[in-house]
Amino acid sequence: MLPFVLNRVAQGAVILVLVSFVAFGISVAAPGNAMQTFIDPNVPPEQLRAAEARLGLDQPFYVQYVRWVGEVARGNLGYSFRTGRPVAAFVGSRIGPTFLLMGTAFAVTLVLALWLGTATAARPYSALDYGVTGAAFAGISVPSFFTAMALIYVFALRLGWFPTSGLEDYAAGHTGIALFLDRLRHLVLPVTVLVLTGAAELVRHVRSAVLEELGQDYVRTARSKGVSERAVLRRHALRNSLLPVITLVGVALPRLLAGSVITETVFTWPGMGRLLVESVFARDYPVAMAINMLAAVLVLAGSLLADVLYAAVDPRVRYS
Amino acid sequence: MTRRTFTRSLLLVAVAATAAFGAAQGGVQRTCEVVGGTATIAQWSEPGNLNPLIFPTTYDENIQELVFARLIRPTETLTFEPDMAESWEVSEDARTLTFTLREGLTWHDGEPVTARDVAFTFTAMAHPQYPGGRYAEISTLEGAEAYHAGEADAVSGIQVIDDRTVSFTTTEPFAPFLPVIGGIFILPEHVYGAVDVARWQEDVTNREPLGSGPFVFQQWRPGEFVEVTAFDGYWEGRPCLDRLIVRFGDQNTMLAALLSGELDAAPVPIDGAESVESNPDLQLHVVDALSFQYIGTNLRNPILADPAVRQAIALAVNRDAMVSGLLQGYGSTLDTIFPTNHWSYPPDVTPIEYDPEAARALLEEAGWVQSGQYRAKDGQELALCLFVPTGNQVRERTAPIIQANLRQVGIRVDIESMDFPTLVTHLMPQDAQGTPRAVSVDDFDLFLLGFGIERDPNEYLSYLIPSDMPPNGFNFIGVDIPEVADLMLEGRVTLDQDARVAIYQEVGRLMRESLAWIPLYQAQELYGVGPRLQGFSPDVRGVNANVANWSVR
Amino acid sequence: MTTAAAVPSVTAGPGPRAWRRFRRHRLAVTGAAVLALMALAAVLAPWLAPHDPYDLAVGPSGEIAFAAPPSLAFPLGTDSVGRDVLSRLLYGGRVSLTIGLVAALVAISVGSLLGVVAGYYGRGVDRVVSRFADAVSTFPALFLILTVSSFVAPSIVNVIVIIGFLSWMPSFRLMRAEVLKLRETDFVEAATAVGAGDVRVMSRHLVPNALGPIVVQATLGVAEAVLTESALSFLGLGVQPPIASWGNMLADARSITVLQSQPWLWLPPGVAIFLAVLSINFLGDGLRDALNPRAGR
Repeated sequence: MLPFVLNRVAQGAVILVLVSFVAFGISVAAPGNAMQTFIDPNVPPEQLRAAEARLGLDQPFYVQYVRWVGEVARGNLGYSFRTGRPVAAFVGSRIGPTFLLMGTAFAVTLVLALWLGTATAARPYSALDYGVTGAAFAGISVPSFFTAMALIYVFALRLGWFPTSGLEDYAAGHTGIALFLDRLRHLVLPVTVLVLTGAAELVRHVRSAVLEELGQDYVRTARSKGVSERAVLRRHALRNSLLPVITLVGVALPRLLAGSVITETVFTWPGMGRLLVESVFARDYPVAMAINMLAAVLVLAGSLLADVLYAAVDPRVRYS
Repeated sequence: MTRRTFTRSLLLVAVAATAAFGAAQGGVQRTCEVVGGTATIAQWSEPGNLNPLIFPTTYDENIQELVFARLIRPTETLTFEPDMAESWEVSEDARTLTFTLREGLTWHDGEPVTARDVAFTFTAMAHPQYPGGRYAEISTLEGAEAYHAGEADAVSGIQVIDDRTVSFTTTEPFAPFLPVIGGIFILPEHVYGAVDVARWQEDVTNREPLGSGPFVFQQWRPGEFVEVTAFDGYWEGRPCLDRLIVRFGDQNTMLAALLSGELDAAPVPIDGAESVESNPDLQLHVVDALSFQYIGTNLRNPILADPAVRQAIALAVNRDAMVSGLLQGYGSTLDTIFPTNHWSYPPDVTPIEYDPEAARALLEEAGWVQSGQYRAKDGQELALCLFVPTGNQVRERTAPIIQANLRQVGIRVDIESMDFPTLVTHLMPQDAQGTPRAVSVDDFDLFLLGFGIERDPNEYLSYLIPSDMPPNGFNFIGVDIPEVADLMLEGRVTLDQDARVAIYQEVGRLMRESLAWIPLYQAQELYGVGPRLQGFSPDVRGVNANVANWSVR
Repeated sequence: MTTAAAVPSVTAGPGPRAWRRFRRHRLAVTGAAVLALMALAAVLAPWLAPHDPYDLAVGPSGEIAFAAPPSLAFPLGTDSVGRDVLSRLLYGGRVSLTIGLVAALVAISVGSLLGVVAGYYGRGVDRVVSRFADAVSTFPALFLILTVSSFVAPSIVNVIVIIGFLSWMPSFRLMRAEVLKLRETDFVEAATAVGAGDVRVMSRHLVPNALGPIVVQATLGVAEAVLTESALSFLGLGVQPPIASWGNMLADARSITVLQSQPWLWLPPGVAIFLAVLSINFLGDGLRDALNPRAGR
């Protein structure tokens, strides 16, 4: 297993370099640059050009790329064009909130999917099955920005149960347990959006995978040997059906990251997704590149994890 | 920190603003309904830089003006009143302005404010390595060019006379110099001077500003908020609030936060006005602004070079419908390139009426005859492409109206939406090597854009004189009207205000005739205020016009 | 129209038994019917739409009816600019459904092809293709969209291409996983043993057996493409106005006031997206049950 993992890590590094090259090319090729977003009658073009030169924006793409790679290799991610912030610290401050949001949503989704997927597979075409299926599909059938707006309208404005936005109640300045509870309250709506728009796929896949396993011979054998239905579900069907589900979990990470773009924007959550949108529109590519590279690392790690789990669960697959 | 008790007197509130100027430090009293408490407000975008000399945007300045003060500041009627300076004098040759600072001014860290801080701030803007893009504002100072080129050790036009007196000398009489000074926040030399000017944007001082304004900077959590607290030593008296928090976020979400009571005040998008008005707890403030929207034309395009076509477009577009429908009445149309509430706007300008019949007649006369759905001349269809920058929902919505209106008179318009930086690449084009080049016929036909006067109509100069066509300036439209250029250059050196009014109003009338900019509408700004916040009264100067007097119940 | 045609053609392989199973899945049948109706309405938009989708509702004295509530002349009211919502809904359906179908088709074609190849040949091929998939998965979609939409005028085709070529990875992973599982099974070994060529093994044995999950993935893909378009519209990067898509109609209506008091602006596109995505998913669910011969009851 270890050589396999090391091998994959090495491959991952190559991919990162490739991705960085293409992503950098695209961001530099994007029309307009950080300085051109700044048109002000008090700032004549020659001043803008001087600023462009200072940031190296007047250089050809490959020169900018080589310089960027050189700096990154020395551990310097550079400075944000728009704000002058050191990129590492700037993006770093956004990782926590995004992980908090994504992690919570991921955990809730996974638990919900395994539970509801198995339950509906145990009684296919029952009222429960239809109910869960309907609800899960309804959740993914509305664009997430609209779900988010609707939740804000109903649960924050009409009912006043949860706050509309932000990470915490800034004016209150909570600490300790009060801060924890306050953040929890702020988490509910954005997590709900991510779960609603992400759970259905997993629920359906767990259901169909379990359903498929239940039709296998070994399950019939187990049943005929008098193994309880519960144990059949848990020990046999669920375990074996985890196989296709695991590949989906690998995919879930980039999907959650993508989902965080919209969710963080609507809920003004101070995460990476929102920063990426702002950076792209401001052509602030040192920041955008850092976020993209970070996302790439996460996705590669997720994919590696999925493969390792895959091997662990399915005895038929072995990596040498 | 001691809290002084303030007597409640409405009269004093009104008087304080004017009477305070003569008063020495310590003698100033502010009348507050309540002293203390925290207010939370919002804006739609996060500031980028808090060093006021680094490419400031409105979102930056809204925060900067809490922390910093200027020598002089604009009044509600757009003249100037003393801020850190208690008085100023103009020399006889009109080239030298001498400012005297108030006595006893201090920075937030307790250090005294001196004339050297002022000289430092203005000199930094001319520094050869200064990265902030505002050099042009003070380049008319004597010796600024030499210092900027690295040929001198100081700007000879900036003189510190004593601790409280500083003078500025321009190479020739420069009318907009007072407005320029009124737009520059003064930085403490002992803080900002310790940092290499070239590294100002990257330095921590760009994120943790220190000034002499009403509030002391406390913290900025990126993506979340900026927090400031009252400055006890503020020359105009300690602000009523203890603490002010400014959040940033999506406009609809911020409106929701206002409606749910999480915010004390927030800007309101126009289609949110109804929600605020129908909420008994909230009050809607409507403020005139100095910005407007227009259709820009590429005068290099032979179709648009014909004044009859531009006039036909202006007559065919139903601008009243935009104001009543899209702006829901929060705004007005305007008939030339200056905002209607600015002194440069000519009151007698010929109105642009909505008259599709007249538009058709004009086009007919110009040789454009209807052939099928659209008009044509010599086999060429009367077709134009309209570039629409995204990001301003009301402006985006005018595009289909313009398209439908112009179709009714036989002009075909194809709409292309793009984000702002992409539009800039069309207006300020570059060649394949990335070198800025002149605008050609093919770069654009029509575009939508906004323009706002910050302080003085001289800001239009680069947009209107032929020598400033790209790559030299911002005249992407290609305006080349000798009378306009002469007047604009004359306005720069004319000091008499009445004469300047006449000059710029004449420019307004000429641009109305030309219609190189086809003016559309001038939107008002809306703010919603919750029941806790007292004294919130934004005006043409912005949301924080009297922030020191805000208080919370 | 297209979806209605797709049902018999896909079920043609496994035969009438699958069709019988499909018919028993009431939700799927309902979904297919709803979709067929929506597709028909989209195709017939020019004849069904009461107004030109770009025309403003102009009164006798030139006034424009902005955001007017439903009336006889405008059965679903007018939008924020004064255009007929019903007409835009019909034309928007053409755009949104086309984007969904074509983008999903692009995605599963690319994904399945690469998945089968990677899974079947394994080793080096698998490694290269899998890493390629990883690389694309990590690709900053937002950047690509911004850039492409500037080189070429932002258009429906570009949105399709972008969504399609950035969402083939799930079908790739599924197909690869299925093929990996099947490759070792007896019937594939048997087929290879009797001398069946690679292409034949893949097309006759591997692909049909992996079709179940791929069909589910494809339907999810259609639904997702419709949703992605609306998310892009929310960010201002989707189908650009004045062309109507359900996504940009809904994105245009995102305001508290509209939510509160102008339901005709958000309900029609919202319900259209909801119904379309829901129907597609039900349809896919039914197809999965019908096509997967091993899925027991």
